[in-house]
Amino acid sequence: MSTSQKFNILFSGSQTADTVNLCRYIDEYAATLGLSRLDINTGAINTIIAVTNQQFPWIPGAVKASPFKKVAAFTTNFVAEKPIITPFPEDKFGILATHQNAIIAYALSIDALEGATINCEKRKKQIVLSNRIKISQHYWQDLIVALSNCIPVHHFNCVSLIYESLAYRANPDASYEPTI
Amino acid sequence: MKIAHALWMHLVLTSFVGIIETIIMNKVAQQHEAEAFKVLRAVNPAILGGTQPLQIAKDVQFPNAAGGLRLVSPEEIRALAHSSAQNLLSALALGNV
Repeated sequence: MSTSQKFNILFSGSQTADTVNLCRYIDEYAATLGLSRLDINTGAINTIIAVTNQQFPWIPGAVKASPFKKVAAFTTNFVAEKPIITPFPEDKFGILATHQNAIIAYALSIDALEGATINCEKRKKQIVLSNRIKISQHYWQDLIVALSNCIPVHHFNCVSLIYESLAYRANPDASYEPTI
Repeated sequence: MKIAHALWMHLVLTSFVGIIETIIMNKVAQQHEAEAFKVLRAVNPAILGGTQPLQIAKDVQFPNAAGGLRLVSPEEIRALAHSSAQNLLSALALGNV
Protein backbone atom coordinates (compact mmCIF):
# COMPACT_ATOMS: atom_id res chain seq x y z
CA MET A 1 0.00 0.00 0.00
CA SER A 2 1.57 3.25 -1.14
CA THR A 3 1.61 6.06 1.37
CA SER A 4 0.00 8.42 -1.12
CA GLN A 5 -3.00 6.17 -1.75
CA LYS A 6 -6.22 6.85 0.07
CA PHE A 7 -8.87 4.29 0.91
CA ASN A 8 -12.27 4.46 2.52
CA ILE A 9 -11.50 3.78 6.17
CA LEU A 10 -13.81 0.73 5.96
CA PHE A 11 -15.75 -0.81 3.05
CA SER A 12 -12.88 0.20 0.80
CA GLY A 13 -13.60 -2.60 -1.66
CA SER A 14 -10.64 -4.60 -0.37
CA GLN A 15 -11.16 -6.70 2.72
CA THR A 16 -7.41 -6.87 3.22
CA ALA A 17 -7.16 -3.08 3.23
CA ASP A 18 -10.10 -2.90 5.65
CA THR A 19 -8.43 -5.37 8.01
CA VAL A 20 -5.10 -3.54 7.93
CA ASN A 21 -6.82 -0.19 8.46
CA LEU A 22 -8.80 -1.50 11.40
CA CYS A 23 -5.72 -3.02 13.04
CA ARG A 24 -3.77 0.21 12.54
CA TYR A 25 -6.57 2.20 14.16
CA ILE A 26 -6.86 -0.13 17.16
CA ASP A 27 -3.08 -0.22 17.63
CA GLU A 28 -2.68 3.56 17.63
CA TYR A 29 -5.77 4.13 19.78
CA ALA A 30 -4.54 1.73 22.46
CA ALA A 31 -1.02 3.16 22.38
CA THR A 32 -2.37 6.67 22.90
CA LEU A 33 -4.34 5.45 25.91
CA GLY A 34 -1.04 4.31 27.41
CA LEU A 35 -1.38 0.60 26.87
CA SER A 36 1.94 -1.09 26.13
CA ARG A 37 0.26 -4.38 25.26
CA LEU A 38 -3.16 -5.11 23.80
CA ASP A 39 -4.45 -8.61 23.20
CA ILE A 40 -6.79 -8.89 20.25
CA ASN A 41 -8.59 -11.81 18.68
CA THR A 42 -7.42 -11.63 15.08
CA GLY A 43 -9.95 -14.26 14.04
CA ALA A 44 -12.71 -11.97 15.28
CA ILE A 45 -11.23 -9.05 13.31
CA ASN A 46 -11.33 -11.13 10.13
CA THR A 47 -14.88 -12.20 10.90
CA ILE A 48 -16.04 -8.60 11.38
CA ILE A 49 -14.60 -7.50 8.06
CA ALA A 50 -15.90 -10.58 6.22
CA VAL A 51 -19.39 -10.44 7.70
CA THR A 52 -19.87 -6.71 7.19
CA ASN A 53 -18.72 -6.94 3.57
CA GLN A 54 -20.30 -10.23 2.50
CA GLN A 55 -23.42 -10.50 4.65
CA PHE A 56 -24.39 -6.88 5.05
CA PRO A 57 -27.51 -6.69 7.23
CA TRP A 58 -29.43 -4.62 4.67
CA ILE A 59 -30.66 -6.55 1.66
CA PRO A 60 -29.32 -4.30 -1.16
CA GLY A 61 -25.87 -4.76 0.34
CA ALA A 62 -22.91 -2.70 1.48
CA VAL A 63 -22.26 -1.09 -1.90
CA LYS A 64 -25.63 0.67 -1.91
CA ALA A 65 -25.69 1.41 1.82
CA SER A 66 -25.45 4.89 3.28
CA PRO A 67 -22.46 5.74 5.48
CA PHE A 68 -24.74 5.47 8.52
CA LYS A 69 -25.68 1.90 7.69
CA LYS A 70 -22.04 1.08 7.04
CA VAL A 71 -20.83 2.30 10.42
CA ALA A 72 -23.85 0.70 12.11
CA ALA A 73 -22.99 -2.67 10.56
CA PHE A 74 -19.40 -2.22 11.70
CA THR A 75 -20.31 -1.10 15.22
CA THR A 76 -22.84 -3.83 15.93
CA ASN A 77 -20.64 -6.61 14.57
CA PHE A 78 -17.51 -5.29 16.28
CA VAL A 79 -19.24 -5.12 19.66
CA ALA A 80 -20.75 -8.58 19.19
CA GLU A 81 -17.44 -10.20 18.17
CA LYS A 82 -15.48 -8.49 21.00
CA PRO A 83 -12.09 -8.61 19.24
CA ILE A 84 -10.28 -6.52 21.89
CA ILE A 85 -9.58 -8.68 24.88
CA THR A 86 -7.53 -6.33 27.08
CA PRO A 87 -9.65 -3.87 29.09
CA PHE A 88 -8.80 -0.16 29.02
CA PRO A 89 -7.08 1.47 32.03
CA GLU A 90 -9.49 1.51 34.96
CA ASP A 91 -8.02 4.70 36.42
CA LYS A 92 -9.09 6.57 33.28
CA PHE A 93 -12.27 4.77 32.27
CA GLY A 94 -13.74 3.62 35.59
CA ILE A 95 -16.69 1.29 35.17
CA LEU A 96 -16.44 1.61 31.39
CA ALA A 97 -12.94 0.08 31.35
CA THR A 98 -14.36 -3.25 30.20
CA HIS A 99 -16.37 -1.59 27.41
CA GLN A 100 -13.25 -1.28 25.24
CA ASN A 101 -14.93 -2.76 22.16
CA ALA A 102 -17.83 -0.30 22.16
CA ILE A 103 -15.43 2.62 22.81
CA ILE A 104 -13.24 1.74 19.82
CA ALA A 105 -16.21 0.95 17.55
CA TYR A 106 -17.84 4.30 18.30
CA ALA A 107 -14.57 6.24 17.94
CA LEU A 108 -13.78 4.72 14.55
CA SER A 109 -17.34 5.21 13.36
CA ILE A 110 -17.28 8.92 14.23
CA ASP A 111 -13.93 9.32 12.49
CA ALA A 112 -15.31 7.46 9.47
CA LEU A 113 -18.39 9.70 9.25
CA GLU A 114 -16.38 12.92 9.32
CA GLY A 115 -15.89 13.66 5.63
CA ALA A 116 -18.09 10.79 4.49
CA THR A 117 -20.24 11.29 1.42
CA ILE A 118 -23.87 10.55 0.64
CA ASN A 119 -24.78 10.11 -3.03
CA CYS A 120 -28.39 11.21 -2.87
CA GLU A 121 -30.34 10.36 -6.03
CA LYS A 122 -33.50 11.99 -4.70
CA ARG A 123 -31.78 15.35 -4.30
CA LYS A 124 -29.47 14.63 -7.22
CA LYS A 125 -26.30 15.65 -5.45
CA GLN A 126 -23.43 14.39 -3.37
CA ILE A 127 -23.59 15.51 0.25
CA VAL A 128 -20.44 15.67 2.33
CA LEU A 129 -20.69 15.29 6.09
CA SER A 130 -18.02 17.89 6.69
CA ASN A 131 -18.74 18.61 10.36
CA ARG A 132 -17.61 16.14 13.00
CA ILE A 133 -20.14 14.58 15.36
CA LYS A 134 -19.78 15.81 18.93
CA ILE A 135 -21.71 14.64 21.96
CA SER A 136 -21.59 15.34 25.71
CA GLN A 137 -19.71 13.09 28.08
CA HIS A 138 -23.00 12.13 29.68
CA TYR A 139 -24.43 11.02 26.33
CA TRP A 140 -21.18 9.24 25.49
CA GLN A 141 -21.27 7.18 28.69
CA ASP A 142 -24.87 6.10 28.14
CA LEU A 143 -24.24 5.38 24.47
CA ILE A 144 -21.19 3.21 25.22
CA VAL A 145 -23.23 1.14 27.70
CA ALA A 146 -26.08 0.83 25.18
CA LEU A 147 -23.75 -0.15 22.31
CA SER A 148 -22.01 -2.75 24.47
CA ASN A 149 -25.16 -4.87 24.50
CA CYS A 150 -25.80 -4.69 20.75
CA ILE A 151 -26.84 -7.74 18.77
CA PRO A 152 -26.31 -7.06 15.05
CA VAL A 153 -29.54 -8.51 13.73
CA HIS A 154 -31.62 -6.74 16.38
CA HIS A 155 -29.92 -3.37 16.71
CA PHE A 156 -28.43 -2.61 13.29
CA ASN A 157 -31.30 -0.31 12.24
CA CYS A 158 -31.50 1.57 15.53
CA VAL A 159 -27.74 2.14 15.64
CA SER A 160 -27.83 3.37 12.05
CA LEU A 161 -30.53 5.88 12.98
CA ILE A 162 -28.53 7.06 16.01
CA TYR A 163 -25.52 7.78 13.79
CA GLU A 164 -27.76 9.44 11.20
CA SER A 165 -29.38 11.70 13.80
CA LEU A 166 -26.05 12.69 15.28
CA ALA A 167 -24.61 13.39 11.82
CA TYR A 168 -27.61 15.52 10.84
CA ARG A 169 -27.39 17.49 14.08
CA ALA A 170 -23.79 18.33 13.18
CA ASN A 171 -24.64 18.81 9.48
CA PRO A 172 -28.19 20.20 9.36
CA ASP A 173 -28.13 20.75 5.59
CA ALA A 174 -27.47 17.05 4.98
CA SER A 175 -30.84 15.98 6.31
CA TYR A 176 -34.01 15.56 4.30
CA GLU A 177 -36.55 18.25 5.14
CA PRO A 178 -38.35 17.30 8.37
CA THR A 179 -42.04 17.09 7.47
CA ILE A 180 -43.63 14.59 9.84
CA MET B 1 -36.37 -69.41 -22.88
CA LYS B 2 -38.52 -66.71 -24.40
CA ILE B 3 -40.25 -66.11 -21.07
CA ALA B 4 -36.93 -65.82 -19.28
CA HIS B 5 -35.68 -63.36 -21.90
CA ALA B 6 -38.88 -61.27 -21.60
CA LEU B 7 -38.59 -61.18 -17.81
CA TRP B 8 -34.95 -60.14 -18.08
CA MET B 9 -35.78 -57.31 -20.50
CA HIS B 10 -38.63 -56.17 -18.26
CA LEU B 11 -36.28 -56.04 -15.28
CA VAL B 12 -33.65 -54.07 -17.21
CA LEU B 13 -36.18 -51.55 -18.54
CA THR B 14 -37.82 -51.09 -15.12
CA SER B 15 -34.44 -50.44 -13.53
CA PHE B 16 -33.50 -47.99 -16.26
CA VAL B 17 -36.74 -46.03 -15.89
CA GLY B 18 -36.28 -46.02 -12.10
CA ILE B 19 -32.80 -44.56 -12.42
CA ILE B 20 -33.99 -41.84 -14.80
CA GLU B 21 -36.88 -41.03 -12.45
CA THR B 22 -34.50 -40.71 -9.50
CA ILE B 23 -32.18 -38.39 -11.42
CA ILE B 24 -35.07 -36.14 -12.48
CA MET B 25 -36.56 -36.03 -8.97
CA ASN B 26 -33.16 -35.14 -7.48
CA LYS B 27 -32.77 -32.27 -9.95
CA VAL B 28 -36.22 -30.95 -9.09
CA ALA B 29 -35.53 -31.23 -5.38
CA GLN B 30 -32.21 -29.37 -5.74
CA GLN B 31 -33.90 -26.53 -7.60
CA HIS B 32 -36.57 -26.19 -4.94
CA GLU B 33 -33.93 -26.23 -2.23
CA ALA B 34 -31.94 -23.51 -4.00
CA GLU B 35 -35.02 -21.31 -4.35
CA ALA B 36 -35.96 -21.82 -0.71
CA PHE B 37 -32.45 -20.97 0.40
CA LYS B 38 -32.44 -17.81 -1.69
CA VAL B 39 -35.69 -16.67 -0.08
CA LEU B 40 -34.45 -17.46 3.41
CA ARG B 41 -31.24 -15.52 2.83
CA ALA B 42 -33.26 -12.58 1.61
CA VAL B 43 -35.29 -12.61 4.81
CA ASN B 44 -32.36 -12.84 7.14
CA PRO B 45 -28.99 -12.72 5.41
CA ALA B 46 -27.09 -11.90 8.61
CA ILE B 47 -27.92 -15.22 10.20
CA LEU B 48 -28.01 -17.60 7.27
CA GLY B 49 -24.85 -16.34 5.68
CA GLY B 50 -23.37 -17.27 2.37
CA THR B 51 -20.56 -15.67 0.49
CA GLN B 52 -22.34 -14.36 -2.60
CA PRO B 53 -24.28 -11.10 -2.85
CA LEU B 54 -28.02 -11.59 -2.52
CA GLN B 55 -29.59 -12.15 -5.92
CA ILE B 56 -32.89 -10.67 -4.82
CA ALA B 57 -31.26 -7.27 -4.37
CA LYS B 58 -31.10 -6.85 -8.15
CA ASP B 59 -34.87 -7.03 -8.43
CA VAL B 60 -35.74 -4.53 -5.70
CA GLN B 61 -35.65 -0.81 -6.37
CA PHE B 62 -34.25 1.22 -3.50
CA PRO B 63 -33.30 4.87 -3.59
CA ASN B 64 -29.55 4.88 -3.96
CA ALA B 65 -28.29 6.78 -0.97
CA ALA B 66 -24.98 5.02 -1.14
CA GLY B 67 -22.10 6.76 0.42
CA GLY B 68 -18.47 6.26 1.07
CA LEU B 69 -16.82 6.57 4.42
CA ARG B 70 -13.96 8.98 4.97
CA LEU B 71 -10.94 8.57 2.73
CA VAL B 72 -7.67 8.11 4.54
CA SER B 73 -4.08 7.17 3.91
CA PRO B 74 -2.31 4.73 6.25
CA GLU B 75 -0.60 7.65 8.04
CA GLU B 76 -3.88 9.48 8.46
CA ILE B 77 -5.50 6.44 10.08
CA ARG B 78 -2.96 6.53 12.88
CA ALA B 79 -3.30 10.29 13.24
CA LEU B 80 -7.09 9.94 13.47
CA ALA B 81 -6.89 7.24 16.11
CA HIS B 82 -4.34 9.23 18.10
CA SER B 83 -6.43 12.38 17.95
CA SER B 84 -9.66 10.56 18.92
CA ALA B 85 -8.02 8.85 21.88
CA GLN B 86 -6.42 12.11 23.04
CA ASN B 87 -9.75 13.95 22.84
CA LEU B 88 -11.47 11.23 24.84
CA LEU B 89 -8.75 11.20 27.52
CA SER B 90 -8.98 14.99 27.83
CA ALA B 91 -12.77 14.87 28.19
CA LEU B 92 -12.62 12.08 30.76
CA ALA B 93 -9.91 13.91 32.72
CA LEU B 94 -12.18 16.96 32.96
CA GLY B 95 -14.88 14.72 34.41
CA ASN B 96 -17.74 16.99 33.39
CA VAL B 97 -20.81 14.87 32.82
